[in-house]
Amino acid sequence: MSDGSGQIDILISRYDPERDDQPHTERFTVPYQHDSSVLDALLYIKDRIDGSLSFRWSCRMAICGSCGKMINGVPRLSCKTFLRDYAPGPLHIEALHHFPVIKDLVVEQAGFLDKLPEARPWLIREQEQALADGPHRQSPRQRARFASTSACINCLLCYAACPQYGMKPDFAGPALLALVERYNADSRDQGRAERMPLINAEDGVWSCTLVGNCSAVCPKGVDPAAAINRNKLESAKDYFLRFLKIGSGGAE
Amino acid sequence: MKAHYQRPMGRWYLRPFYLFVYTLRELTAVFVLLYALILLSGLAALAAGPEAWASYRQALAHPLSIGLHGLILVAALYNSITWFMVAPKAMPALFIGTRPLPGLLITLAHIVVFVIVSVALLVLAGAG
Amino acid sequence: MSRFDHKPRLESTRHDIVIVGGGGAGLSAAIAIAEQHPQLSIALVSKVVPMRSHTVAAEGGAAGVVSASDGLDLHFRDTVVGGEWLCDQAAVDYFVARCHEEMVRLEHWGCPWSRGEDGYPAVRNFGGMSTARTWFAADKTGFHILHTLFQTSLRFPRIQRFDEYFVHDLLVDDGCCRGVVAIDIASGDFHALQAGAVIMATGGAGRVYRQNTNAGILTGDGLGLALRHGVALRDMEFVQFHPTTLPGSGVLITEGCRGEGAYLTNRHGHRYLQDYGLGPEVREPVPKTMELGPRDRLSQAFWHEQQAGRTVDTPNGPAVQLELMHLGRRKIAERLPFISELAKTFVGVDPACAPIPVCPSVHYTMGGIATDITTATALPGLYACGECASVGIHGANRLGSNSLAELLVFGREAGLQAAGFAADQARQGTAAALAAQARESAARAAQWLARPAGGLRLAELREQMTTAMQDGVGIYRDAERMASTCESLENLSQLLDSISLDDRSRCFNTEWLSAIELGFTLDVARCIAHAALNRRESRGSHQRLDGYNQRDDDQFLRHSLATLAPGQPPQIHYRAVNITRLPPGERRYGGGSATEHKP
Ligand SMILES: Cc1cc2nc3c(=O)[nH]c(=O)nc-3n(C[C@H](O)[C@H](O)[C@H](O)COP(=O)(O)OP(=O)(O)OC[C@H]3O[C@@H](n4cnc5c(N)ncnc54)[C@H](O)[C@@H]3O)c2cc1C
Ligand code: SF4
Ligand code: FES
Repeated sequence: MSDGSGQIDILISRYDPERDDQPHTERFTVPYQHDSSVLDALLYIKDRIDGSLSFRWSCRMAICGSCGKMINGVPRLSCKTFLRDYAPGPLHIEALHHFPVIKDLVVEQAGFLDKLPEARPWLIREQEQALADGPHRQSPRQRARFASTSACINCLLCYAACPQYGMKPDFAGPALLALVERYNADSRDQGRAERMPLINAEDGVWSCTLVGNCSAVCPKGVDPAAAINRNKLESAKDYFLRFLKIGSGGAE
Repeated sequence: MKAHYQRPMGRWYLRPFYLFVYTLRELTAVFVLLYALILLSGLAALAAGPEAWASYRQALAHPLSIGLHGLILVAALYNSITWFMVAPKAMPALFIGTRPLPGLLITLAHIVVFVIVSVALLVLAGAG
Repeated sequence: MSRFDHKPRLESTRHDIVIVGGGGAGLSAAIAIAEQHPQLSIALVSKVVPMRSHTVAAEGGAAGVVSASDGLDLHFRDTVVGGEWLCDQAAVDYFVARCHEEMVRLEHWGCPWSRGEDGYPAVRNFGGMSTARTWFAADKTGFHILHTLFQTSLRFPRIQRFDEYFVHDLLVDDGCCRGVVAIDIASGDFHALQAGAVIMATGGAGRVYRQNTNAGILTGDGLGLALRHGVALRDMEFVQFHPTTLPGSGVLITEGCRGEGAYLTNRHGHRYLQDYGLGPEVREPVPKTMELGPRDRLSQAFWHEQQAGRTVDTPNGPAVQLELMHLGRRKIAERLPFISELAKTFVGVDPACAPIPVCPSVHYTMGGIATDITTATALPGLYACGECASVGIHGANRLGSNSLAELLVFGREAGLQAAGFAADQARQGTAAALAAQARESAARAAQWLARPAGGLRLAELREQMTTAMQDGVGIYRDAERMASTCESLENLSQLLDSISLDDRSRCFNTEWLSAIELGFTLDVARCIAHAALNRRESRGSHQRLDGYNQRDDDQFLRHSLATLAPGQPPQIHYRAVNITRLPPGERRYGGGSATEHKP
């Protein structure tokens, strides 16, 4: 720790698909203040030293989910990580692990985005309520049941933290399964049965070995590990019930 | 035209440190298994007659065996405690009103029960 | 040397409707079309994946009349008075009548609105609103609205997404807008999207200023695009400064804090707003009083406190204190968890224990692409909605929580209008002409990559622009400083061609995109500065110190319209305001005196 300002060395993993076969590391020295974030450092480099450095960012207030990077080997939001905590450096920044790198610190997110519809992440009702009938009722307690899972900003840090995803890119993964749980736990929703196939699939909850690291790195307290492992119970129940041919899997 | 770079997984089970913690948790299960086998062979020895039982007990008293049991104890403790730490994630969500029950509390509850049961067993074993 | 050929590829696709922007407005439009006209094909183009759009950052809430004691007329009055009569009253009437329905629609789609014990969505107080009518989802309302809309949009396979496509031009043929040209950011290839109608939903332009609450993506692209194709921007001089943001970064601390009862105090611990006609000092939140006054008045009061030396100093400049301590940890955790997180992260303050230092920052673009009440622009086939549009409901000062509601009401309207227009096949353009136009436009954009090295740095120019705006067109304005800003901006836009880029590659070249964005932002800045200079009165967020300190309805109860011809400074024209039923009067807040505090 230092007094909160000075200079810091930053090592950045760079990759230009038009020239490189694999990434290499470049060193930059940037000044920082007590409140400079890692994102500020990247912007400083882009504006003043090397405009060709590519990275995603947008809101700079830890809510849009764009700016995840590996920072000294740990997935973090760069706008919510501060240089003062890494002084005197050097600080190592890489693209999020486990995703294909497009350029420098930019990764391909299609693996996650393309799978989103499989979670059927919308409110499913047997009978849709007419607008004129007003809102559904839901008590604050019922709302609390999905408060944490609905806080996911899709930053994908959890995927970068999950070795199972690293080895099995088809694994639905923490955020997607948390999203399933978000709707399943919503008292207004009746679509649990439609979401069971994703949960039960080989790439669903059973690919998770409860490393628990996804929850540790999540910047929003979503606790995807819990969401997944609670669904193992559901999945087992579902399997058992189908085995007994009693039900087709649990719209409760 | 896309030529994406896919980073190899490398020795992910050793580094970073938190993954090593996980790897150890999974590995320590082997020791738990080992202990189960030892107990099982004890049972077999008991069934085989007093001689077998005596030599089983003798083997247990061997310094190597005591060393192994020490190792197993450490490993089993590590295994249990790391599992207690993830236990809150494996059980249905608990709420007090609108607030989720803190995971730490659940882990602590597990540890407390674990300690009580262990002590009770020791006391019973000592008495018996 | 390169592993790829450098020739820009140009792909081309046809759609019924192209929507530019995947924020709250764009998504509302897309879903409305998909629901009502399932046979139409929709392209949703956005330079960031939709759920990253800045709607995600909205905190406080969305307005919609709910209670029996409230009424549409009251919401109408609050809005028109709040906008100091520069609102299109027909548009406001249309708007307030539809807010509630849109909030319910979102609820049916799963939006996790905060609830009362009775199980119905709760509402909170907001600045300038006479009663509690702001729906909220804790203090992450925009986040929940955006994610609900995005996730709901996944239900409709007819909505084809073009994520991370950057639109740099419109296709216009035969006097009609017939598509857009975009850069596929990942590959750097071009893509022409031809369409029967185009909807602009590109958000605000807060990045025109140095200290703002906006995301990096809010560079006013849609406004710039419209301008270049002859569509006027309306009321651009009205830029909202939000009174409570973190010094330096400009990160927003929502008005919802004050809605829940937070106090604003100066360095002496005095609740200074009572000195600016917003009193009397009240302990519990009272609508339109003290901290629940409108944003323009609160930001102006800060300016006076600063002049009088009653602000506190922070490493990032002067601030006043936002006190939440008396609300208690429990209420803060339940109603304002995100604020708590932001304050702890960015200024190291736990709001349950200590005040948050805050100051005004640029927040919202009240003006925008001029549209009529149906969201149609003057260019047939081009519609605009959301913050990039000026449909006329905000006037000279937007009331907090009217914007999120606007995205839904007018996003939907834009979708349905554009669908109607596109369905009229007779209007389809000639593909060959459009293809030629797209090729030309792509070649122009690609020129950036061929420029010689050794020119100006992009960031330098951008900094000069934001500094000029911050200095000349701030909370209080005078002719001298505005004129000097206008001049600097004209010079800067001449220099745009002297920029050279470090990055000449195609794949994910964000420097290239920034350069194109800067072109748009500069044009928007010029319109703001010129429109401000020409408005010789004080109204809402436009306050002058140079003798034009009063509102002048005779001369200026009129919308400004800015247009831009190549190589010339912006032209400013005026257009009458549509006043249907509430004649101009005095704008009063607080229970106290009506005297306006003027320097
Ligand atoms: C911090 C903050 C808090 C706020 N809180 C509130 C509140 O509590 N209540 C309220 O009513 N209002 C609030 N507002 C205002 C309100 O959130 C915004 O006005 C509104 O979200 C704008 O939505 P939009 O859909 O118009 O644009 P945005 O959500 O900003 O989306 C713009 C879209 O356009 C796309 N785009 C832009 N340019 C291009 C291009 N060249 N090519 C392709 N795509 C492009 C972007 O990718 C993005 O998808 C707040 C604003 C801010 C900044
Ligand atoms: S679960 Fe957490 S870490 Fe994963 S994407 Fe969501 S917010 Fe990010
Ligand atoms: S920039 Fe939006 S989360 Fe960091």
